[in-house]
Amino acid sequence: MNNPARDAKAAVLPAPWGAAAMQEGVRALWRLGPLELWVRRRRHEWRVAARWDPSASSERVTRQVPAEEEPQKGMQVLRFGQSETTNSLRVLPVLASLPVVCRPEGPFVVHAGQSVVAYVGTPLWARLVTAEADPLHEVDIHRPSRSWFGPNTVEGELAYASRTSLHLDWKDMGPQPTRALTRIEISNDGTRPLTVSEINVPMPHLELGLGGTCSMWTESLTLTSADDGLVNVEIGGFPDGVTPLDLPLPRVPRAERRFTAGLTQFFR
Amino acid sequence: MHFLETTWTWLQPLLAGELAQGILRALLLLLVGIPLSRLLARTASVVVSRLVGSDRAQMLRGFIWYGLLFMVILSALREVGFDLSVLLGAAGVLSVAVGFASQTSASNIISGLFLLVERPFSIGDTIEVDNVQGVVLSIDLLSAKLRTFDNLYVRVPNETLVKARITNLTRFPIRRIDVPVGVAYDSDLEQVEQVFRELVDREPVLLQTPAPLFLILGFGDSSVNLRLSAWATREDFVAARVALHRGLLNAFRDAGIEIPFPQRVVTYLGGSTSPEPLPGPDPAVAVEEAPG
Repeated sequence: MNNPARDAKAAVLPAPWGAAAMQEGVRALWRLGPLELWVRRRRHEWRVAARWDPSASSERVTRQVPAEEEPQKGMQVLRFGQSETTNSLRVLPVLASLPVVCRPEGPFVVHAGQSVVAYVGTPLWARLVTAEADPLHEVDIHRPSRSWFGPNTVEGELAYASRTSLHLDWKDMGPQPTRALTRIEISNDGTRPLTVSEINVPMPHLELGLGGTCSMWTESLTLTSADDGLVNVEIGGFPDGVTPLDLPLPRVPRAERRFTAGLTQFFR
Repeated sequence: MHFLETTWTWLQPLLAGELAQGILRALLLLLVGIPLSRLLARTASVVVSRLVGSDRAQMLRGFIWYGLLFMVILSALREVGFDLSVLLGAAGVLSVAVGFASQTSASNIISGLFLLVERPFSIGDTIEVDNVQGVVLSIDLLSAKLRTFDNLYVRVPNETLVKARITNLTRFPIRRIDVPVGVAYDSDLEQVEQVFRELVDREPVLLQTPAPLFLILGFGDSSVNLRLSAWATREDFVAARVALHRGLLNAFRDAGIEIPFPQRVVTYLGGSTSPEPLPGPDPAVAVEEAPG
């Protein structure tokens, strides 16, 4: 597994992500999975409208600049004023702003002394950024539901619920151009079996990279549990063949890449 | 000039006297003591608020301010020449009378101390007490102040808060929404449950976990009584309750699940036990329309 430095050469975002040249008055349309995102540039404002089509394929990723199709009547249009808009707008993939709860098809057990590698796909968000690198707006591509993750209804944290399952073989996951893949190594250093029915993945602390076939990967995670009810968490580098993207740092930068937390913060 | 000289000559013996000096000292004590007491109370409040919160600090500030003010006034009175032992003696008699008269206020103050320690709620929490729901604006020496959702100002004595049952609606981060509903006896309950779970799954304001609850409460007169429960964050509680009720109504309608009106089946004794339909209106009889 490589662990590239932050200043290593970054990968270029594949289409339809990245910069789009937009003349004044032009309308652009991005189709990212179920999301249809219209952006129109005017001299002193940007206008953004979004719609989600649950029947659309999650593998759909297209961009039309200029777009002939108009937003449907009745759609809410958001307006962002600027003293002078520029002719370039970037659409960047970003990870979830909350942890994401991932669930295997069925609970699995990791016996004492054993370890498994699991793969999860978590939804991406589309962030609109102007030429001056000012973030304009952020839209969720998959409209994930939220979930409460914790030992009870008093202690815990709010998280997103992933709609894709956790897999032990990443080839079972299929192409996921609008999701980020995460490799998670689960080790049981205790003496008792560890039953995994849900994993809480700390997405705000991870960075995004680009792998083969234009798949997006996050940094890897290693979760090591023991009998003391604690988990040692290590945020590793990207998997082999994945290059970091030239994107903003994680939403919640972490000074330490290794830390210890309660077992119930990550497993259920 | 002559007038000033005369006035000064007249004042000198007075100012040299003990009483005048005492009054001057008392005035000085009040001039310095009152602002100093206020400053000390405010400083203590700022320091304490960082440790234990603004509501406790606010109450502590009141205690410190009135306590110091009382001491400053006593000191000023002593400087003027009042014999405080007389006051203390009178206070002993007066305290009995004052005690009877102010037992409610004293109870409120003591109750305020208990609230400080126990902390059943903080400023900004939404609580329900005595059938009044509102946001806590302040927790003071004698009472707490609430702002109700229809923007009314409610003062609740601390004694009431200690004695009554208080429900803190915003203490915990998530809340459950319960919807009691009855469905027709010929409904497929598995289908009802599936429709409900699909609604929770697609409604973004409802949480996936804790898992929604589908409970069969019993067999009512007209329907099978259910309780459908889903969870939401405390911030989204109102929006989630609306979304759940509206979503259930629409989803049941789309799935052909009936929420029945109260019904009665009438059986004629001695005859057929099968219910007979009542005859419809006679088309030959004109029906008078209601006015308007």
